[in-house]
Amino acid sequence: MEKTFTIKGMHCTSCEVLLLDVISEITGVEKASAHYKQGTVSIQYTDASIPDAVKKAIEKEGYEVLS
Amino acid sequence: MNQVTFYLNGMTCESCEKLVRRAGEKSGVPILSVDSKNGCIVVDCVQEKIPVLKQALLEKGFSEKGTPPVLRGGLNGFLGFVRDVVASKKGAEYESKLFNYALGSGILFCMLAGVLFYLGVIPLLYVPFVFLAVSASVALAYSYAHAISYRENMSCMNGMMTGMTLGMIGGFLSGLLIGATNGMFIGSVAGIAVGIILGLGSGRLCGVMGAMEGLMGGFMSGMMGAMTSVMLLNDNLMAFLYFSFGISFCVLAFLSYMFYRESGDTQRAHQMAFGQFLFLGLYILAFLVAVMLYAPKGPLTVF
Repeated sequence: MEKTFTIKGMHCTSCEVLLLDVISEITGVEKASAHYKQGTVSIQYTDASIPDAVKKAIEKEGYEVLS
Repeated sequence: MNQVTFYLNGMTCESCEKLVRRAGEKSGVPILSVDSKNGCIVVDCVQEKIPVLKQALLEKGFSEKGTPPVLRGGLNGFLGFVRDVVASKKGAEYESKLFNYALGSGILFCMLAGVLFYLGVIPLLYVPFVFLAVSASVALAYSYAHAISYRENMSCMNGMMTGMTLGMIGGFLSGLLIGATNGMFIGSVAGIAVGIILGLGSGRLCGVMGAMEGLMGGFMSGMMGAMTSVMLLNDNLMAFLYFSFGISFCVLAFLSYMFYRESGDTQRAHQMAFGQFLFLGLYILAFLVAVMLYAPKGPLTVF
């Protein structure tokens, strides 16, 4: 399964690295990529509960998840 | 446990600070502070853990900087610094203490001078000059005391700047003052003496280079001060004295700001007590007033 989040508040490479770092800690995420210019984070995952967990983790770092 | 400070390349924003903190947590090193503005991080750990942390940081794209970054100081920073010193804010405690010492000894010196004027030891003609000598000695004592508090870790550039500034300002103010009251020759000699002693004393903190700058600064400005005074005898000398003393004090305040910015507040190992400060100021003041009163007068003076 795949999902792409639109995120507000990313402005540099460090933001990408930070989010990937946070997401990589969630078990069940197979692949993740982040693009600060587009403001998107894409994940490939196995379990249906993962997107919620990812969303929470992103919000915890102070970013706004738009969709 | 011991605190270690080092500097990183590539930190630009809050996210970077977060990344650095996470890298610290993961490698088991508590990070005490991160400042993305100057790339400085402070950690608390045993020596063996540092390579682990550095490796973890490198993986996130933060390499270590070999030397501390250049801190740029603008005028806003300077005004903020002056406010902090006057209000005794955190981080500027020692500067604030020295500022209060300077005020305190300035008042004491004025009282002492008042008594000497009352007793007739110093003729009333000298009132403005003694007043200027008091302010100069207090300001120079402040700068000198601030400079030598960094004597263990003065960098070469800072040391050279210190030697030159203190040598030049010390020599210039003394030369200007004595040049006005005693003429070109005595003014030059006294200016050079004060300039060289202050320049050498503060410049030597970083070694021979700083001492050399101090010597040259003191030598040149001592002469320059006396020369300026004698040249201005018929052209608003008194106004120029007040004006140039004011400018000089601003320069000394900026020197103080330079120490503060370049070396921070953690490294001031040698703090001066009020008694020492008082005597330092008194030496300069006594020398200036004694020369003014008892040294021979040249053909061209203000009197």
